[in-house]
Amino acid sequence: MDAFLTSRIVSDILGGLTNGVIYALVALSLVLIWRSTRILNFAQGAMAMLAAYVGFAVLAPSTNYWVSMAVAIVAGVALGALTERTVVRLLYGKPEINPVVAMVGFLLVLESVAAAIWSTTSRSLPTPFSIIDWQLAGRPVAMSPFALYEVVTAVVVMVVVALVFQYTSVGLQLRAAALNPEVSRLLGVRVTRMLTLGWMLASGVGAVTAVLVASNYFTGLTPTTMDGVFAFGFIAAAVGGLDSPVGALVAGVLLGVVFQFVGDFINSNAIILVALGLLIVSLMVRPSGLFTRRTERRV
Amino acid sequence: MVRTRRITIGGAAVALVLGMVMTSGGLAQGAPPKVPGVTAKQITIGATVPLTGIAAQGYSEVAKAANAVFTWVNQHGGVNGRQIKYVIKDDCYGTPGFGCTGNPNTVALTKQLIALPVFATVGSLGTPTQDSVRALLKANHVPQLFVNSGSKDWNNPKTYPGLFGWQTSYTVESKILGQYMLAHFAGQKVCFLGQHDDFGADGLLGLQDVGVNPIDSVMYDVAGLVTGGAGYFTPFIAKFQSEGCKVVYLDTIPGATDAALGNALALGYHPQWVISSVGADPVTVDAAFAGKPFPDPEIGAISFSYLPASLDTNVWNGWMREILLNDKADFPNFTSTSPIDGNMAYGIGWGVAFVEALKAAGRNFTRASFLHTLVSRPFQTSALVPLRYTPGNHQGLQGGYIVQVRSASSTGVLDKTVFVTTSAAKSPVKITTKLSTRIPAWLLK
Repeated sequence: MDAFLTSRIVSDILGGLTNGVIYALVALSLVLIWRSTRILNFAQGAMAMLAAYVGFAVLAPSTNYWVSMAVAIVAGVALGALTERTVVRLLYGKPEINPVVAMVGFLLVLESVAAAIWSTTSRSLPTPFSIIDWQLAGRPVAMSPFALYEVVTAVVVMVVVALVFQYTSVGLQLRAAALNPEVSRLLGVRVTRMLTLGWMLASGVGAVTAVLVASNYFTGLTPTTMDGVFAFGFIAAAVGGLDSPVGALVAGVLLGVVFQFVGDFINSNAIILVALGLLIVSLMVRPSGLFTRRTERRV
Repeated sequence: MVRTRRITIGGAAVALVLGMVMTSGGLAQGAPPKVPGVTAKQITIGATVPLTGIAAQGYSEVAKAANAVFTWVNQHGGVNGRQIKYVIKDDCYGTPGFGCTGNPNTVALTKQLIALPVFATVGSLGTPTQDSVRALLKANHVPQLFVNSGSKDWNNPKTYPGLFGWQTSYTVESKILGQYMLAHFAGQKVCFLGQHDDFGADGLLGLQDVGVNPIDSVMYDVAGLVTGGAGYFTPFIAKFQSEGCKVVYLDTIPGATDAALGNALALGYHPQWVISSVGADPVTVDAAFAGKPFPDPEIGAISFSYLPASLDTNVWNGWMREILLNDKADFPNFTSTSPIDGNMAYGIGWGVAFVEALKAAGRNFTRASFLHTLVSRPFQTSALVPLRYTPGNHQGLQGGYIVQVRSASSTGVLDKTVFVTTSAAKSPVKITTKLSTRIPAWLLK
């Protein structure tokens, strides 16, 4: 059993799972925003990064991890609302290229602001659990207390989001506003408020992700911490389907595991190649994503 | 919009350069030579360095530390009656994004410097970035001094007579470290992780040149590290662990050192690390580990230094602190207890080299006579060995000693033996006793 748990295959699956849930969270944030406002939020990673900085930099370094995490989430939610009200609202109904350019620009602005305030020197975030892998018979199992905490946190966030959407009145209004704004408005749903709420929810998820990434990845928190994670999360969202939260999650975890196997059995340098290859193939074969039902909504 | 502005700036730069070339051509006819960038009261020099963006971590301090030297010298009357004006342009290591607030176009920024005009570029940073402006600077007769990189590209006096490196080459460093490994870790399996460019390639060559043959050598890609985060390194380090490597040599930039050390820590893998000076600076490396519930994994690592180690009693350490404290504009948060990190010591090193050379060149000099001075005599800087160029060798420093990381902010010298060698294959690693002497008196006033 020990040999099995520390074997190469199991190590790759566990390592991939830990990375994959992070990609899944990023993908989930993208899907939430896409579903509610039809905007690809390229600044999603940077918004999350800024929220993490606010959580950990505004408070003294000795501050409790959980308090900082809470502040980061609040900052993320607030930033989401602010972004939707000030930047995004001007983009509704504009040609499709406008939001893309605007959000890429917003990404650069946010990273520059963070660099100007906190510098590009990496900042170490406290870790509430050990990042050192458990050992069995002198060999590491590819899972540490912190990695487990990451997976559990990701699952909790996903379940909470799912419950909000499926079982609450706000969730119903969110879905209605996204699916058919005009009819929803006629039925008394305050659509603009729902759009803002969608951004707040997505940014809150993003803030949790950024805190997890910055405290686990040994490179610490920098203005660019989320760049790479965002790229993989974006690919997960595209592969899984931008309209499908379940697709985003499954694709995120799968990609994490696939990348781990590629890195282990081929070479880490091949990961980006494989990632981009998968993106191209999935866009060619199923442009709407693996998990999206074909609809003719956009005519 | 951005495109238009770039074209405008580019156009303006070209016009200015053209104007300058025509003016200097006219002056060559008769009047006393007017040296570009030099007036009776001032000499203007410039550099392109990453103040923001992907390579800014730690490296953003280097040019500022040199400027601290210039500030100090200016406050004490300048050099031969001239004040030094140092124009620093942020080129983000030529890479847009990643928090870059400068202009990632090194060529365009260099054209701006040429148009100022500057007497020379001094301490510009990066191998790819400085390679991209070698021909441009040469065509405009602008010396390109003390390029911040250990590449061998700066040592090519026949093609680029105005181009000079400063630090030891990657090969010199790995040869000296390799010699140490042979003596102290003989018979142990060695694995090598290096950056997939001349940094890793030259470093590996140096190790093999002295007879260290890693059983596994992996080259990583910077873009992979940026996209994949530390997870990108996990398979590399896990492989070293399963292969039973007791010694791991790193030719890595600081962020990559963090990723390698962090992965090993998570895997419960504790090899003897031997880390190139490029990515070993303890203060920079520790930034990612500070406050974690385990000791900085870099402690105990062996590295190389061509600058005095922070725990060394070297006379320069006190002087460096003094001039950093003096430059509140560049180092507002530096206090009498702040650690002097490797990047600061690096910038101060060539800052001193420049003022020394400028002083030696005399009151009336030209670009040609300045370069002649540079290759005619050794210069005392804060580096361990004197800076010695020759007409046939523009590489820079050729030696240093072995250091060990002692804490999150300091390195100590293992023994004070200073080794020298050259990048050339089979050139021996020798012990030298010709060290940098005391601080030149004129810098102590």
